[in-house]
Amino acid sequence: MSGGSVVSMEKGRAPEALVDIRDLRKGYPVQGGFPGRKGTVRAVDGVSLRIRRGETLGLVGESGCGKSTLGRLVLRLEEPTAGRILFEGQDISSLEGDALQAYRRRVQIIFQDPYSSLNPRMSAGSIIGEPLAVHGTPAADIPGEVKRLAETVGLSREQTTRYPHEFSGGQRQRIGIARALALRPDLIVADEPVSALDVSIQAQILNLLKDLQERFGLSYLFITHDFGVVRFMSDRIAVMYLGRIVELVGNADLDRHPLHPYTEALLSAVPDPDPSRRQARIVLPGDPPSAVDPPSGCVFHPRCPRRMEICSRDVPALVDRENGHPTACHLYGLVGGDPSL
Amino acid sequence: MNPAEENILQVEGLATHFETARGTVRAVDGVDLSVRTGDTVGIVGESGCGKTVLALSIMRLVPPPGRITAGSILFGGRDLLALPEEEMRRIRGREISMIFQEPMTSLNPVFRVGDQVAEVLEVHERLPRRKALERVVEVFRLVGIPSPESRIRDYPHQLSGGLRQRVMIAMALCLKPRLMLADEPTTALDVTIQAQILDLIGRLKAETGTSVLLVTHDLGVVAEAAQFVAVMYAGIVVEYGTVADVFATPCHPYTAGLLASVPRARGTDGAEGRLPAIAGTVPSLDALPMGCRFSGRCPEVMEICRREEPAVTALAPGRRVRCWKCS
Repeated sequence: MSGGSVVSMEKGRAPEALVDIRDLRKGYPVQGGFPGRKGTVRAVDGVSLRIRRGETLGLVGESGCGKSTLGRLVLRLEEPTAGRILFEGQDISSLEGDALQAYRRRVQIIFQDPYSSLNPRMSAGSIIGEPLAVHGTPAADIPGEVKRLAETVGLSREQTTRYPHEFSGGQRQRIGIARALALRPDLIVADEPVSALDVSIQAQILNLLKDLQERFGLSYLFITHDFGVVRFMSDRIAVMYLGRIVELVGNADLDRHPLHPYTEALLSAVPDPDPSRRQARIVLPGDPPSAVDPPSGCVFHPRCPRRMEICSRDVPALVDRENGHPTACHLYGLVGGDPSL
Repeated sequence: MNPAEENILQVEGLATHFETARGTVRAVDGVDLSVRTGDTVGIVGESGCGKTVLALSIMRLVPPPGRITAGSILFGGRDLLALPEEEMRRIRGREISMIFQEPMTSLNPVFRVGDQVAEVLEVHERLPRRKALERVVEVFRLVGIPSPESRIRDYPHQLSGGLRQRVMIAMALCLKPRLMLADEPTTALDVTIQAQILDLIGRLKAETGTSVLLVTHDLGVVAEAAQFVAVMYAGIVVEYGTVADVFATPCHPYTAGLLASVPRARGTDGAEGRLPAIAGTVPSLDALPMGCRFSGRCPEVMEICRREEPAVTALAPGRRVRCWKCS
C-alpha cells in the first residue's frame, strides 16, 4: 500500500504513476434504429487518470458508464480510438511481439463471473498453471508453482485436481485470482470481482485481495458498481458517468465531502443496513441517457437536481477543486488547480 | 376489521422438499411467518437459503420435483394448501401477485407490454380488450411510466431495465391485490433506478394498503423498505423481529455476521482493516449438519449446538430467534 496520505498530490512530488491514462477515448460504431442511420457509442469519452504503484484505484459507476471498457483498454484487450495509456512511461499501444507479451505478464485481470470465466474441462490446477505454460515457465517447475499459488489464495493442494463445477462461487473466484497472480503482475484489473457472490463470501474474497496486495505490492484498478465495496477497497475513487470521470476523490472524502451531485445522489441511494444511519435519499429522475447521443454540456445535467443554465451549454472540465479532489462540475466555478490526476 | 391486528398471511410449519436422486433437498424446512395487513416483511438470506422457494410455496407454484410436505398457509383466513387448484388460480394475480427479479425474462418478448398487462385484466375481470387497455394506461401512469399511451405499444426490449420493472409492478398491481410477493425486485437494477423503484413500492403501498413480502439478499434494501425482517438460513428462519431491533441488536450469530460483513458506503472508516467475514460456505440443503445448521460456521459455537437443533425462543413479543446462545 502506498500508505497514509494517498490523496495528497503536491506538485512535483506526486507518487510515481504506474499507469498514466491521457485523454483516452473509445467509440463503437452502431446502426441506428432507422436504416442508414449511424452513430457512435462513446463508451470512454476523454478519460485521464493515473494509477499509482501499490494503490487501489476504484472505478465506480452504473451499468453502461464505460467502466469495463476502460479496464479492457488498460489490459489492451481493446484499442483506443484516441488518447494514450502509458505504463511506466511507455505507450502500450506501440507494443508488439515480445514487448507486448511482457506487458501481458505484468497486467492481469480478475473477471466478474467465476462460472463462465473458467474452462469447465480444465482442472483447477491446469487453469492456474496455464499462464505459466504460455509464458514459458519450464514444465518441471509448474506443479510446484501451482501448489504455491493455490495455497496463497486459500485452496488446498488436493483441490487443484478438481474441476470448476466441483467448487462454490467463492472458491472459483479464488481459482481466478490464483491464475491472475501466476505471472507476478504489477497491476490487476478486477472487474466486479465480487458482484456474483453472497455477502459472507464477498467479505472473504475482499479480505484476500487486500492481503495479496500487501504481500505482493500489487496495484489494483478495481471496477465495481457497489459503493460499499469500492470504499472498503480503494485509496482513491473515480466516479464515472456516461464515459467520463466526473469526480476523483480520496477514500475519506467520498463519505464526508463528495462534490459532484451525481456522486452525492449515488451515495444517498445506497440502502444502508444500519437503521440509525438512515438519511434522505436523493432520487434521480429518469434513466442514464444513451451514450450514442449524449446530452449537450454536462452529460449529467438532464438528471441533475442542482443544474444551472450553464450546464446544458458548456462541458465542465475535470479540474482540481480542493487539494487533490478533481471534479467536473460547474457548481464549483471555472477556477481550479492543475488537473494533474 | 382491525387492520393493525389482522394477519393477511400466516404461514405455520411450512416445509417444501425436493426429492432428487442425491437425496431430499429441504429448501424450506419448517417456517413460521406472518404478515399483518399493510405491513412490509422482508425475507433476507444468502443464495440457497430457501427464500425464493418460500415465496413460490405461498403462490403454490413450486416447480417439480418440489412438494409442500407439511404446514399451513392461511391467507385472509383461508388455508391455501387446502384449496382446489381452480380456486388457487383465481387468487393468484387477483389477491396475491408476484414481482420477479428479472423483468427481461419475466415479460414475453414477442408481445407488446400493454397487451401483456391487459391480458391480466381480461382473464381476471373479463374486461374487453379496449377497456382493459384504458385501465393499463391508468396503472402505467400510477407506477410512473412516462407517456403511457404510447408506451403500451412498446415491446419489452424497447424499455430500459427500470421501466420494465415498472411494467412488472403495474402487472402485479392492476388487480389491486391484498398481498404482493416481491422476489429481489431491484437486484438487477442500478442503484439510482433501485432508489426509484423502492420509492415507488413504498408510495403504492401507502396508497393501496397492499401488504408486501419482500424477498432479498440485500440487507440495506430490507432496512429501508420493511418494518419486519425474517433472516433465513438453510431453510429455516433463524431470527425474526422489527427491522430496528434485529439490525441494531442482532441476537443470532448468523445475523450479526451477515451485518458485519457488508462493506458500508457511508459513515465507516472506509478502507481500514479487514471485514469480519463468516468462515466457510452455506451447507448443502441435502446434507445438513447435525444440530444447529449454522454450527459449522458459527464463531460462538458450543457443544450442544453440534448435537441438538435449537428451538424457537421468544426474546420479546414479536421477536424470535433459533439459537442456543440466546435461549
